[in-house]
Amino acid sequence: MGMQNHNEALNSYLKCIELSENNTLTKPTLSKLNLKTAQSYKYLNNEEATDSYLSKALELREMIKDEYSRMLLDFDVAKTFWIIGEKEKAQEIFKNILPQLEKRDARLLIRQLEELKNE
Amino acid sequence: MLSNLEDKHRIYSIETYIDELTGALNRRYLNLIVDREIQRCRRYKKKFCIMIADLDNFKIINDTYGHLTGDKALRFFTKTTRDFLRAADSIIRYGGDEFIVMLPNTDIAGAERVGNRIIELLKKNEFEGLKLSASIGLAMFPEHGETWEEIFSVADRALYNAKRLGKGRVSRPDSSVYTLVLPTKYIVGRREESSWISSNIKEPGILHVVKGEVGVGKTRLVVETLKKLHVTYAYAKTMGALHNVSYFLIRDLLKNLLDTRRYDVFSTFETLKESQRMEISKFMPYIFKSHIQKSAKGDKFTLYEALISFLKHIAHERLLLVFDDLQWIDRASADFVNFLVGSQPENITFLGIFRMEELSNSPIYDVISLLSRTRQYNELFLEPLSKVESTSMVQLALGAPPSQKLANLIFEETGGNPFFIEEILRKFHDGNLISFENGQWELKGKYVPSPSQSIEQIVQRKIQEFSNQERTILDYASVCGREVDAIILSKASGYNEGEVYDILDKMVQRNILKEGTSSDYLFSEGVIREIIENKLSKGKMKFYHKTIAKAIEEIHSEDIKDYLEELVHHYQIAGVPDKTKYYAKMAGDRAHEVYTFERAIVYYKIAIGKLPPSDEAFEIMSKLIDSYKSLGKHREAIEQLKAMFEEYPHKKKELNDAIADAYIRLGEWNNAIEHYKKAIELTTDERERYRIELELAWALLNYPRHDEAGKILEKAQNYFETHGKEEDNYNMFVWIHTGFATIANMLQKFSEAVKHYKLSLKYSEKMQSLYNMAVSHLNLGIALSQLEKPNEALEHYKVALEMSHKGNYIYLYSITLQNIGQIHNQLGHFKKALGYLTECERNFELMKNYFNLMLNHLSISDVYINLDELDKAMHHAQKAYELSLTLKTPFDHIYAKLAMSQIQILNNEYQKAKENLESVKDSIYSTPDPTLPIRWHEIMGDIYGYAKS
Repeated sequence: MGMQNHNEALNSYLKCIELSENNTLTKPTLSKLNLKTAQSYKYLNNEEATDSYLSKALELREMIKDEYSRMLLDFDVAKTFWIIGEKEKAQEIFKNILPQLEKRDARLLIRQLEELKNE
Repeated sequence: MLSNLEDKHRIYSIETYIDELTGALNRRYLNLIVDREIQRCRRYKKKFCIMIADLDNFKIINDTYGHLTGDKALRFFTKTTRDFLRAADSIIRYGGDEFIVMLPNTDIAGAERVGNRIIELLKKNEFEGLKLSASIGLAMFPEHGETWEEIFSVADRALYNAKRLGKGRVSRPDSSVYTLVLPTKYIVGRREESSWISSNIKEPGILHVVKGEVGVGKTRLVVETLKKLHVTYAYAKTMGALHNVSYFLIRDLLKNLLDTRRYDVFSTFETLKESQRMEISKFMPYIFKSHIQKSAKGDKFTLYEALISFLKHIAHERLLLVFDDLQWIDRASADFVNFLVGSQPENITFLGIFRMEELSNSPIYDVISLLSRTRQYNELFLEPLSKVESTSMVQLALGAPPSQKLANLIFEETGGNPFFIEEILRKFHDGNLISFENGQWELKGKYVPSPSQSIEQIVQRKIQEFSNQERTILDYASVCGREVDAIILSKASGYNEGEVYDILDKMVQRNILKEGTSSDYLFSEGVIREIIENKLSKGKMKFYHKTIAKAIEEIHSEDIKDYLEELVHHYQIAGVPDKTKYYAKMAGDRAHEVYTFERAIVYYKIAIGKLPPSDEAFEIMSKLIDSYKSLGKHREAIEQLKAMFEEYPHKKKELNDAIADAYIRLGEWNNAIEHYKKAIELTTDERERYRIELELAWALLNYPRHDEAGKILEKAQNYFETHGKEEDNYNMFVWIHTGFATIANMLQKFSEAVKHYKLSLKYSEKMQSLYNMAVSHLNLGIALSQLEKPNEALEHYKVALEMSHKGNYIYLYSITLQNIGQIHNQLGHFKKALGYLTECERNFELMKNYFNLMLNHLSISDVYINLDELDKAMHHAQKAYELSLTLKTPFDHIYAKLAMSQIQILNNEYQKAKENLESVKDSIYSTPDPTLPIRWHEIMGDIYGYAKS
């Protein structure tokens, strides 16, 4: 379809982060935004920025008290590790979260894993 | 005969067909076998006879020796007869002291012998020192009729003859006793319609309706079908003249329940929650006096909920509600009926009746449209009788068949409408225009039909036949309004009660009136009342209304509150302005009390009329404005208030305060601030000034000028902490802390918000205000969920839910449900979330609260996204979008579009997702929600990031 455009995606995510400076977003939302930004930077081969946004996301993750929210976020964390090439770390997280997921969530996760493998 | 039936009707036990009291077979059995017996005899060319037996002087036995002896007499008659009958014969208790004996393969002479023998046996055997006697009428198939109705009618007439000739005898059919019997003992035809009723009345959640033209026999069909089925039901009827009285239908229903199930009404009332009792007692103020008190937080849904609980309790296992003459239903009752049917109580079923001619302007039209949309409406169109049925009806009324010529003439003249058939038969009979010849009725000479006999002409002709005195009573009755009450008529007309009762009874015989549920009379057709009333001269009408009003005042001085609307109606037509205004003010208050604000406005406007400025006029104006506000008509309220400045210069402070309040509700904060400031300037009382300042702070908070608002709140806190008794200031502290919490929320300081909501809760508890406590718990839940403490939030939501349920605060209850649903969604409990949100969806639909319904659709859509059920998610997002367009709110469609885009991304429909996002791009920064642009950009990022090249 010719829609994929990591520059545009990155611009959008950066705009989100900029806008969120004046508004406190929930930590899972903000952490997820940082992960998405890190992924876009990776696709654009900017390793430094990738690491910086990933660290920020992980920092925020540590502050999340609710286990379920953290676990949901962990899927995006694992996905980011996968994209940046740290597949072992990604698999480790997937293994950890899989048993905690309900059947339905697990099905969703597996579907998305398949997609990731195809990329 | 019984054993043959068991195969086909296995579901019934034999006991179902036995009359408990006498051990004879019962009417249900009769209904079951007659058609089959007739078919059998027709097929095999057999005959059979029936006997109708009626115990002589049974009423005297009952009255003199008591009902127990009466019951024994019935048992004695049954046993005596049964002992004598053959095995193939059967004795059926038809009702009261009337029995039917079926005699297969018997001719009329044989039946006469059996009848005479039974009478002899009764004479011979004494019963408790008494000698019973019976009268018996006979008829034979096929000689005296081809259908059950015809045979029964002939036997019934023969019985009448036996009684007339001195009782204690058997009478064969004899043409000399044929007289006109109206209304007919049976309804003719209508089998399919009757079975439609019997099969539908068991189905709850649907408004089943029988509709048809005037005089076609709708009510009779319903009532007799239900009687035949032994169905208990509660009946309520509207009145044409009182279609403006709020909740008239519901009041009539409650009145009927009180008349027929007094014990149940009282015991049910005791089981209700206090808040529910308060609402119910508004409809029965003289029964439940102790419960009337000012309700702090009621609305029409609180009332609905209370009424539904009451009806559900009183229904026990099942109750059918029959609503008659729905074409005249008042708006408030119509809204309630819609809500009641929509709420689908499992143990209540509904059957409505209405005349089609006046449907288009009636509120019932809206009910039908709304319920049809959700497939909760089902109707039966009752057609006039066919030619064959019309002929059967004539035969039933006259006791013998009409000639072909007479039958054709009657059908052509009446179009098969039973009302017209009855009328033409009366005309023929009373004018001696028909004669009985060669076993059938025939026209004497030539009949010249009168051109287009309308109901109006028929009624006019009937009236001409009455005496002056009778006509006067009828005129009074036509303006009376609700049931025709003999005592009121007597008081108004000056005739003594006995005379009035005699006249009313005559009207019943002439089919102008019918007897009502209690001791009242009703017009047999509403249209008859209208015709009589419409022909009154203006002067007479005024006079009649005035005297009726005076009679009501005198007779009902103790319970005048039940007659306010009628008094306004009568005095308004009578042209007595003082009395009209006096009762209109009270009627306005009453309408306000049951949340029918449209009616309250009408009455308050009448009450004000052209009153010069006065304290009383100001008080009524204030109530009028309050009603506008309650209806959400804030612009009208502001207009009225501004117009009052000139007439009430000394009330400027109150007027500014009220105008500001109306602006607050419109969300026009700037205007509200301006008027609060004016009100504060004009206030000399310090405490009152602080109270208004708190209102101002609320407006400032929303504007948003929270710095200014915060300062006012601090000042007010200092003042109320040092002035007045603490307990008098609890309400102010609830307000102050809610204000502080709101500011904290705006500044995203959720911990501080929680602290203030807790204080607000503390003061609500001290006030013992259930409503405030529920609100505080809900607010606490919301703040805690912002703090990412979903489990703690859930605890508070649960308390809020319990409290709002206890207090019947349906709106608050539903909002709490919505929040609980959202929390469960966050916690990954998707099924639970769906449960709460679905209940919420139904509540908002019933309340017609489309704004919250829209938000709820978005929440449900979100759950379905999480469940990976994207079609359903899209369905709800689209519903939200459609609602946002209907509501024409400026920003809400954006949320729906964002949800749709998100789902489209998951469906790999990136182009569509992008188009949806682009369509709202220009509006995202103009909304008050700062997170909206963030969400928009995130979704746009996802489109570019996830899409495949």
